[in-house]
Amino acid sequence: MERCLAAVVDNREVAAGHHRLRLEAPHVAARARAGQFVHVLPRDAATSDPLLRRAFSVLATDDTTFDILFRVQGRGTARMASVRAGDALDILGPLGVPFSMPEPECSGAADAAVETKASARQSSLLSPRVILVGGGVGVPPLAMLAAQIRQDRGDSKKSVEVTALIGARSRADVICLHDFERCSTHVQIATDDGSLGRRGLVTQMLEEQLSTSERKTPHEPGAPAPGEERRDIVYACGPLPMLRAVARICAAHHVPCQISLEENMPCGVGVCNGCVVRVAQADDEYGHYRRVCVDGPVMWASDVAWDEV
Amino acid sequence: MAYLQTQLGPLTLRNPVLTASGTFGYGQELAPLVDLEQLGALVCKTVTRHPRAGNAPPRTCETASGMLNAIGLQNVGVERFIAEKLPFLRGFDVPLIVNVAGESVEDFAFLARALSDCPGIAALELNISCPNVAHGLDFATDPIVTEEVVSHARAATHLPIFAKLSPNVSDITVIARAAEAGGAHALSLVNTFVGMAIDVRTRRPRLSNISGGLSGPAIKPLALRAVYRCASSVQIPIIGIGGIMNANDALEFFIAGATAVQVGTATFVQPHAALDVIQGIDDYLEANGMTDLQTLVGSLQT
Repeated sequence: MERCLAAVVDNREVAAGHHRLRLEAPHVAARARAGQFVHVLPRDAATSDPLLRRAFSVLATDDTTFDILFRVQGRGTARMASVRAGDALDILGPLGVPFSMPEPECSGAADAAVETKASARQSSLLSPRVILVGGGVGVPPLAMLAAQIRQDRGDSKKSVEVTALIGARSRADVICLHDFERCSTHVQIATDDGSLGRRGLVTQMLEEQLSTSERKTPHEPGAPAPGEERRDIVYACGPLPMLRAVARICAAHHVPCQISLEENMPCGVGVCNGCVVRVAQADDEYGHYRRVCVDGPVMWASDVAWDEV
Repeated sequence: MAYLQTQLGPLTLRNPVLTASGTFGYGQELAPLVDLEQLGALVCKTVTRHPRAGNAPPRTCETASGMLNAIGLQNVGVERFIAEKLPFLRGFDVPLIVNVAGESVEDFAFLARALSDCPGIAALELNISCPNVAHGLDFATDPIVTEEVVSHARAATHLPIFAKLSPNVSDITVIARAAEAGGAHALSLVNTFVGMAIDVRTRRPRLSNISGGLSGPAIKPLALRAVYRCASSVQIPIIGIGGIMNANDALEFFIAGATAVQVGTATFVQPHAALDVIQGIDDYLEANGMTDLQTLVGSLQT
């Protein structure tokens, strides 16, 4: 993680109120992994308001640049929407825990009797099928994950099947569609008003995906080969009610699920304890709360105390 | 930078800039980004007798040129602090000041005793002024209790004792004098101001705790005035805290009467803020042909 003044390369409004910003920062471009974020100061150093940095997930990286995509929803993002090529933004990053990469090699069920929680999670990453569930402006880190999976695994014999489920209020709020189409096997869209894709919730599509997957008998197309167990893994990012529903659905289907959380982050580096989320089981290392900035933003959905969030 | 040397009671610091409790953790997170050994001292996150989980989120909220926090003194407790956090900090050549908070006078004495026996601690800062916990942890609104807490802590340890005062009082000089009478070697002021913010859409407080402590540039004028008034009320040195974002801010506090300063919220914005302040003070002295920072302290002309 480093701090730098990143030159603005490009700033374009990709959807109403949504800006895709390209910034020059070689160390972020080189090191950022899907799920990580940068902490951006939305003002000049000479002023003091808005005071704090804002966190944005990395959407894409290139040789020396990286992209973020945000919706204007407050004073900080309003400032950032007006920057032009040639301006510079004070950034800190890359920060946070990234998504765990799925492994396409599937060696069948691990020996359940001796599985520890850690090894169970490790083996849950052995999944030939990845389902991405994104809501609204939560989709950028998932788009990066799709690209990362394709880049890391695209040329291997056992590739990873990626299904992207995108939800938004309406057509005007759908973002990163091309990014997903380029890197996913299937893309499905749901909008609240039915103006793009089907009318409904992205979580309904997830429920269908997981139920269909379970129902396939050994000889149906798409079913796992004999001796091979099809395992789904879900990655989700979006509004809290969506994440809560995704967590519930995945738990019901016994499917591992990683989520990326969002919270106000005064410091972004783990010193203030401001951005915490309650965990289901207090443990020695973390206590009752984990910091979204350094113990996340990516976490296993089952770690979160959803009743108290 | 020899002329930045600062004396706080029995404690000698290489420069007058300390980190404020709660803004630097226990050093581990920022060590990769910030050279800890350049700091005058590191005041770590509050340590309590028993572990504390902290308040439910949301714990923070940005306000105009500031922020509210209601963290709730989340910490691992003194036992784990000594076993797990202290060893890391001992590896650095920077004075460590441990901020402690108790639910009773006896708690403060207990903490003072427990930390006395630990090598690597330069001083204790008594957090008698945290506004974010229920049931009377805010000792610093009562001068009698203030004097009692300080004197019990003094009796329990050989370590220098600094008392951190609350600004949420009618007359902070009364509390300052009480802390001095109790034997404090220096005073840290101020802690955060109690405040709140409301979400109009939901008609709910933005903080789960309803109210929280305000910090940042917005409180500088208030903190500065508190320092100015206390400087003429007590003999012991004052550590000025409140909205210091840069060296110029720090200089205002010295002129008002502070011997040293703490940098807090600024660190959230710029991890190396404290180091920038140190450099800026040094640049100022050099530019003005001054060889001793102490000539600036209390030099306000009225």
